[in-house]
Amino acid sequence: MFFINVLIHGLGWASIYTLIAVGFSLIFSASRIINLSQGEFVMLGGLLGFTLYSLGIPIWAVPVIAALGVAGVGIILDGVAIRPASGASPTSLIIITIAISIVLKSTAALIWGPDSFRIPDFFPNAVIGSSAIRIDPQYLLVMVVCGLSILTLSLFLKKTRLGRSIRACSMDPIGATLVGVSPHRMRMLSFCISGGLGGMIGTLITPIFYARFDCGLSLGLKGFSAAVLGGMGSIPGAVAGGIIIGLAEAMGASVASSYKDIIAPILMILVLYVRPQGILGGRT
Amino acid sequence: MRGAFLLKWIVLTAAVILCPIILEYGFSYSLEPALQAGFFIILSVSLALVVGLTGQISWGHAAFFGIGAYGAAILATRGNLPVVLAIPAGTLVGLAAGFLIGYPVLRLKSYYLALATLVIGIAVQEFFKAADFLTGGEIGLYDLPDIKLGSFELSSAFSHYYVVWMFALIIVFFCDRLSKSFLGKRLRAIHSDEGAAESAGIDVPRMKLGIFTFSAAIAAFAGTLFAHCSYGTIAPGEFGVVLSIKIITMVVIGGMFSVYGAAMGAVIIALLPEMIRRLGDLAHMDLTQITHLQDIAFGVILVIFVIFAPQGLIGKMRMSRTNA
Repeated sequence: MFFINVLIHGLGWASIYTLIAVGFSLIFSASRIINLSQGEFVMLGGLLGFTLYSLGIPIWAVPVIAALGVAGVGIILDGVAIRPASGASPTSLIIITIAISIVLKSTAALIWGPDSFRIPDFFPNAVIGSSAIRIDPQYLLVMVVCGLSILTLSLFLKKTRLGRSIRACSMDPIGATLVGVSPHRMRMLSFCISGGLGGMIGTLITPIFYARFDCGLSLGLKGFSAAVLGGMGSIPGAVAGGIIIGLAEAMGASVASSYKDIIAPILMILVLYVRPQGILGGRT
Repeated sequence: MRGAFLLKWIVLTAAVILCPIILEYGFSYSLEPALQAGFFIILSVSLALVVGLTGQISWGHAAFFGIGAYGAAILATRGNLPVVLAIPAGTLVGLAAGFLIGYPVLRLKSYYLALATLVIGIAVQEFFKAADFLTGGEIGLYDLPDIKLGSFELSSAFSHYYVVWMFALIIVFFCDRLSKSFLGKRLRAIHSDEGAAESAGIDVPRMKLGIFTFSAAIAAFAGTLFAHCSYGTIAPGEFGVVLSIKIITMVVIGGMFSVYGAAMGAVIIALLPEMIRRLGDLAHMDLTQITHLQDIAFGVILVIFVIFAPQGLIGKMRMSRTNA
């Protein structure tokens, strides 16, 4: 029984990490940029979701509006900080994204202050399961939404012209330019989609997680540990990495909870050491 | 050249000696930012050896600062070691940590190295928070003893300042010499082209590991001073990613390649919060808001420098000199 509860809990978090990892991978494959501000997108989504909810917007519309808002933030960031630096070395670009994450975090702290915020469950008073096995419907919702988003995103990348253009940029930016695809635009699009995914998941987990201005870093850390673990730039890899980290963390937390935040980094370092391209990554 | 070099150092030393006297008696101003600048210089210069000279990135430099601080503090308080022994011992702990972390991590390149060092920096901080039987947990360690030389105890703010700055100047001098030496040239060769350096007979992995370990040891030394030659308290919050980012900012502002530039960047970053604090006071902000405003300023400055002046202040100065 205990094991099943841990499993459900772990899978819930796994889907959250997976979605963060997918956003991270998407930007990486469109532009070779490691976006360390991915976790801040989630944080912004949560806080924005709270504000929207307290303004009286119906709870089902909140994730959508928050997603659009954070997608806008993604576009602005790309225009203000990433685009002017295009062509800089990978190290410089990492420095920029980490600087963005500090700015987002501190700005959020100035706007929302140091408190934690929560919005109510999307299905109030609904409990699935018996007294031994309890499934929080919010976890279920998170899992379903994450699954659907990833499915939609994969279809978009495989089947549509725009999606294929993003993949073209990841294979060969110059070649893509030659056939009329603008890598700048694709990068902007990838920041927009990643921001939207982050904003949406941020709102969906606020009933479980409590949003606070400094919650982004640890979420982002686990998300990109998952992406690296699975192989950067690969969506199946992100899913595999997210599930591994979510489950490992849930099991670790049931044994020694104060060390649970170290599990993801340790797993990532171990994998980097043995297999730098990640579990499902191809050549680097 | 020799004369100019000597003059530069005499002026610098005189400025360092006079600074606290002027601050204290001229403006009755706190020595705190000046003391912090000393620590920042040591950290920034040590990282410049890895980032600027050798071209490897480290997002976890604050971890070594913390390891040195905790190493010395734990040995001095729980191990009852005299502080003059705890300081070298803490430095050795940092050296060992640098070797153990650098050995696996330095095999990684660009993105992966950045992520791995970042993650290790966070993991080390989490460890400081979690292992409270050793580190005092979130609260940290306090009432740490000052340095004692015989019966003389270095406990005043003045003595802290002079000890830290003396070591800062020595380290700047030594690292600058190192960067211009035979070894420094080899490290620069690794920065320009690893493959070419390898084929010229340079043992690249060994050099990288050597400089990383050395840099970690210097940062750890700064940490030991921070524990025993500052306010006498250390807490895990001080050794986090934000500090690592600040150190990188100093190196970037200075212009990556120059040890003096890194030292200059450190002074700017140490004095910036003070300036922002005054601005925040004008706007009637409270202390935590000011802290956030300071962080925003770091982020913005970092982005501006990377985009508009990747060669840093020293690079800009040199360019304007050659253009004139």
